[in-house]
Amino acid sequence: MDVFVVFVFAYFLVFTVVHAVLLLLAAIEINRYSGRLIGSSLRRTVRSPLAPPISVVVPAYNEAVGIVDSIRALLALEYPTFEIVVVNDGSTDDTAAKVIESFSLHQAPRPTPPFLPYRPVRSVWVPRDRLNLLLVDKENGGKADALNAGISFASYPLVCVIDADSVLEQDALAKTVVPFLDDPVATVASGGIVRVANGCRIDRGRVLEARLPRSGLAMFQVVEYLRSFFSARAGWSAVNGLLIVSGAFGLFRKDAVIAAGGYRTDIVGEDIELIVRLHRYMRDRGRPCRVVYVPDPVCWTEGPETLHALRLQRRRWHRGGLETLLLHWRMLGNPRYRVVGMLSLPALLLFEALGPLVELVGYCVAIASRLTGTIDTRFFLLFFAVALLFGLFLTVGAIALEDASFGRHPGWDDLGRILLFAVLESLGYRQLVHLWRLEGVWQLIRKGEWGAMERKGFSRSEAALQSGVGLR
Amino acid sequence: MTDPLAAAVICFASAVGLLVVFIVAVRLRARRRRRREQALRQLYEEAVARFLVLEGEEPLRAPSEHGGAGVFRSVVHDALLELAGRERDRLIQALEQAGTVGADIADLASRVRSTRRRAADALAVYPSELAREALLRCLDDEDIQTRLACARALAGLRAPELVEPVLAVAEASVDQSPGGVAEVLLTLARFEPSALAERLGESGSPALRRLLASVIGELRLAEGSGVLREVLASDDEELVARAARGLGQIGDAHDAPRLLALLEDRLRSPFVRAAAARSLGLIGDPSAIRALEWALREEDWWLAVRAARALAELGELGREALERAKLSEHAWVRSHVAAVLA
Repeated sequence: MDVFVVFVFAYFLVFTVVHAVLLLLAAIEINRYSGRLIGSSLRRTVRSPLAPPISVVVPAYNEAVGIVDSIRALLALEYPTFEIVVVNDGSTDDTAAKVIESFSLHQAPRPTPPFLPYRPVRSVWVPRDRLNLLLVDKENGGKADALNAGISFASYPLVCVIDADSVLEQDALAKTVVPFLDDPVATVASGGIVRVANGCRIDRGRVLEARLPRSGLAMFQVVEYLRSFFSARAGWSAVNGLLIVSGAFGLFRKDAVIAAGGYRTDIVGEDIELIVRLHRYMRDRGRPCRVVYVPDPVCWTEGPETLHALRLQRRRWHRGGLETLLLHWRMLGNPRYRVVGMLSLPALLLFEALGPLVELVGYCVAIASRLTGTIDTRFFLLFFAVALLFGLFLTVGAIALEDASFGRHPGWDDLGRILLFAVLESLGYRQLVHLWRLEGVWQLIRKGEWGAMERKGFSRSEAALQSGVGLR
Repeated sequence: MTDPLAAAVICFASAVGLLVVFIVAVRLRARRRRRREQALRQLYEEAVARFLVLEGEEPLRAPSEHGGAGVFRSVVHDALLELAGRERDRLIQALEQAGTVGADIADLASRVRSTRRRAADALAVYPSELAREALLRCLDDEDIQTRLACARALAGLRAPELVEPVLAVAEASVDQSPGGVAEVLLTLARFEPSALAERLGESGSPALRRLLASVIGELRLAEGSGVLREVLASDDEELVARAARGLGQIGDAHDAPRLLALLEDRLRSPFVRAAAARSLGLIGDPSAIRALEWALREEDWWLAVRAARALAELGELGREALERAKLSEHAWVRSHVAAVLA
């Protein structure tokens, strides 16, 4: 028992130190970013003749409800040269028909680019006027397959991957492209922050008013996202150890993605796996590899509002992270892969893969020990207080960072709600999520099937929030 | 065992408490600052607008309000981005008289890196002769962004004797910050395009030469077409591709034979030949049709695509070539042609 307690204590100590360092690195990185004359830099980017053109790839499956508004909003993005490549992934509703009708597209013979593998293309549709839009209608193959098709059809050297129901802020492309301008050779991917759109006022694919969600479940996700993006991701990005760019919004160098083989279609965590594989591919060939998190450009996406949908999502996310670890286990502790091999992947294994197990077993052992009288009440209460306060410290640290830099929730009642849910998170929600993550492990072991997330309204897509490995 | 736990509880609880206090303090400060800045912004925007409209009858005064310097700088930046020529020069002169430029020059000597960087960025937006010496001194600043901002500011002074030091900084910084160097070159290109062409003609950093080729091409600097032609013989494939692309952007028909030779050179990589094909289409020389028809049969995707699109841009003769290619025995040729003719 003493050995176990010491182990758990040591584990939490290491976890605390690592995440406190990440928080500090995140603070430095975000401060550095905010300190640049972002306003004039952005304006120069948008006007620069050297700004690289971007292909925005939008995989769509049964998105008839909101696809037209999403495309219209994307066409209004503030960026000099870009195109939209919509990939209809064998939808059973009238997604393709709506796009064709709304934008007056006509079918055009187009050779199928051979760069990446994907399910057969049925038809390609182009506009009659100079609209920068292309519709690829293909057989169903899943999101990763649709992305591979979109990347293959993309005309430009940079590819922005976005979910059909994600809402990008108008300057998101201009902000996310900056790392590629700073270092076009080493930078292979960059991503921005994903925020929970539940509760926001959204019209025709644009966020008119950013508000916090009403539902408690969505509020917990707001807290998780703040912690994940403003602490973990910013921190890892500062040392070039970032393992994931959100599947809901990411910018990639097309040639690097194609050279690395594109998205895998046989796993659930294709977004994190691609980033890890890019690191591996580039380092194996002695080339630099930089994956950057840009803390400002925002993508809004709707989070699950039912326990069932959230459970499915978190199981998949955790399974995705584990699959990536299994596929690239040779990178663990390998100095060839630098920070990713020596720090990020071991941290993923130690804290993300094993974390739920250690924490839940720790709770169970502590409760059992209290009930059997092995530990006294004081120790028991202190143990739980440490667990709760530690999570709260990370969350409040991330909130402080967000407030000091971008302050998207300026209202005092918003702050109050976020802090309240940061406290409540550790009183059941976090433990529930850990349980679901362990279910993901069990699924991986059994290689069982999982259900599809329900869709509702401004259509939710589970893949839209597939940014979650690294959430605690 | 409980004592370390108790200590940990106290530590975390204190840290959380301090962070909450920090958040509250930051918010209160941010609210006050936002209200103040909103009021000041309106004031300064009106002042700048009056100065420009009344043609100097109302001088522009330096901001004296607390916290006004940053807001004033931001308002001036916004205005300068929209101005050109005489209006722009007048506003910069007014800034010199108001002491804004002087304040930035003083900040260039600050010990705080972010202050120096901000000052250099500001002087790059409103380049002033008063700042020349200070900017030259800062060209060896330890911070690369400050160095590049100073180089950009010096490039904006449009003085031929400043070209060498600016290009020296560009060359030294290109591997660390190619994006920053690209901005310096773009600024220089507006005022001294021949200097860029000259530097491209010399041997030097491959990364810098590639950037120079891109800038000359994207800005369609005719002064640079001679050196772009020479560069087509280089072994650096990336450089050759950018030069070929640039010649297409410039669009001089005299470059067609060299681009044709590049297209037909099967020892060159496909992306170089694709750039040549694209440029031949932009230039519109019908003598390229035969070579483009052959390139259409190449198995490299982008080379075939570029060849097909180039033929489509070569008028009636090009379309006839595409019609002939429709009968090709190769399926990919037929599909590329069908895509272009659709």
